[in-house]
Amino acid sequence: MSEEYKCDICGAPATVHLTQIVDGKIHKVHLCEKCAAKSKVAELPILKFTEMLAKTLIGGKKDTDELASTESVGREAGKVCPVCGMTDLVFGKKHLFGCAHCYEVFSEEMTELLPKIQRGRQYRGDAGTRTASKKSSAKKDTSAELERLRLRLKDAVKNEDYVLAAKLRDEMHALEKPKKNKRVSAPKETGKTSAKRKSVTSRVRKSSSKGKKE
Amino acid sequence: MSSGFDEFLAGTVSRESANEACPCVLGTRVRFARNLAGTSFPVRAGTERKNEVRKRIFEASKKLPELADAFYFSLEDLSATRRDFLIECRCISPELSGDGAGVVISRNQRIALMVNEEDHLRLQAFAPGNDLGSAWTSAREIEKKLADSLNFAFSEKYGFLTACPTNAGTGLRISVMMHLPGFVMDGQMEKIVRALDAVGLTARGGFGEGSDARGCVFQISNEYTLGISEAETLALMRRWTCDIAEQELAARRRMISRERAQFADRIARAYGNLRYAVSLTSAESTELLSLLRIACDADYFPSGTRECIDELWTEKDRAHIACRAAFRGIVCDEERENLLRAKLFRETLSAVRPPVFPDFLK
Ligand SMILES: [Zn+2]
Ligand SMILES: [Zn+2]
Repeated sequence: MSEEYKCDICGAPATVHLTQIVDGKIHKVHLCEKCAAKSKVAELPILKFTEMLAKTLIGGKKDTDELASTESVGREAGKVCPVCGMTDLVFGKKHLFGCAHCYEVFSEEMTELLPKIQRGRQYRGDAGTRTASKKSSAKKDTSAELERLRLRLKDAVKNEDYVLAAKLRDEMHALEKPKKNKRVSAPKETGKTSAKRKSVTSRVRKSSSKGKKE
Repeated sequence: MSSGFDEFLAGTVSRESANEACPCVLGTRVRFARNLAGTSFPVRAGTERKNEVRKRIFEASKKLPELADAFYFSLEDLSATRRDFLIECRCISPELSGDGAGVVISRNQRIALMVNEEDHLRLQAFAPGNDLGSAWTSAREIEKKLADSLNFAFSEKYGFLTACPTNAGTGLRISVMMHLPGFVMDGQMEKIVRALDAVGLTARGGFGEGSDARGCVFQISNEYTLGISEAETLALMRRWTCDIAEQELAARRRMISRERAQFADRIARAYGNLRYAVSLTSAESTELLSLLRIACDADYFPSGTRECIDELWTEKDRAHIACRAAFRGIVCDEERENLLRAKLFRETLSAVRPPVFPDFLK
């Protein structure tokens, strides 16, 4: 008797077995009747089909524990969150934290990731007003800050740095409506090229929502 | 409190329409991502834990006057079609599914809380047109009230802690749904996307990540949530969406004056097809409807027509047709869906007189 295969898409017993050759590599595909019918196996271009499979396999359909164990095959996990069990391997792939404590466990990874995906490293929202810690000392004189920004904006326009100019203008807008704004400091990441940032961001995004749409 | 989907369905029949001021904008959403402190995020939580989180969030929101009489749905209780209906309404994202996932939708559909999507809570407030201010105010209000009874995961350094680091910080994402056929026809959309990127905004398809921009509808939203304040995010979105709307209208004017007769011909054909077709696919009706919407903004139709078109915009979607049919006891396969869609267009457009054009022979 041949061993029992499970459907590559849904995990039900597979009855359709296919062998595809892509770029000289052999791919074996096992499907249940339902999934085979749904994906109209014969009509699908090979690459698209394997792509879709790969997506489905990595996607969130699996048990989370199973996910952690399958993905750690090949290399030992270096760091594991003691609270939720997230490993650096899974985090490196999916860029998803498993719990609040993960932020401490993977702080190095986060430090490396942040410049590519965020505008700054420090929270600048207004929740401080309702948490215990008050940061009122950071409040600056608004008109002085506006003047400072105005000067920088003039420079930026003169240097034809319109990206910086747009950012400065937004900061000034925000300052002019000061009710929700506590602290305004210059954006820190202006040196980075946006093109680079974009490509990494879209990769991160993609990997965090992989396969869920299928 | 209610969980009757049929009741919800009946309440969605007449929606609020967009305001006249901003013809390029279909709607606005303000969203906060939040997680409960002391419990794993959905990606690392089993069904039992997710159910518990859902219970806590549902209970907290039932205490708010705004949501006391809201609809509370558990995703595992909804059929695929009903779930799609909620996606088409934009109450939930395509990612919300599975055991433990839930959604709270206010009676007026201005508030929708997604539970156990990527984060425990995705709090969303909607407004028609480009009314950023009212969406912001109501999202803010609900968030503050919920924070009184739910302890959100928060750190001084990273702000609100979210499953994906792209949401950490304020957890605030403002999205404006924009209809940008002028840019698309002008071949300028790529340039716009690059320009948006440079200022920290992104453009995606109408249904978010990975979706296509059917009918030239794009979702424009802020990219960053850390190192930026809420006020800055609002200012950023306000300024750029107004700029884009202005530029889009200019692109349309250029196009219309360049090819007046051809444009009029396309509008007339779009109207004719939608008005008289016997069978319409979702894709075809989207393309044609997009043209009629431009024609409204160019005053080829009487005022009030755009409201009618905006209603069709959602009602023509697959699950909307199927759910409305099921409500009347009609089972819907694809063929019947296309027939019903055409009927919907015939009936709705019978109240809209044909577009009027100048005489191009003169
Ligand atoms: Zn299967
Ligand atoms: Zn963790």
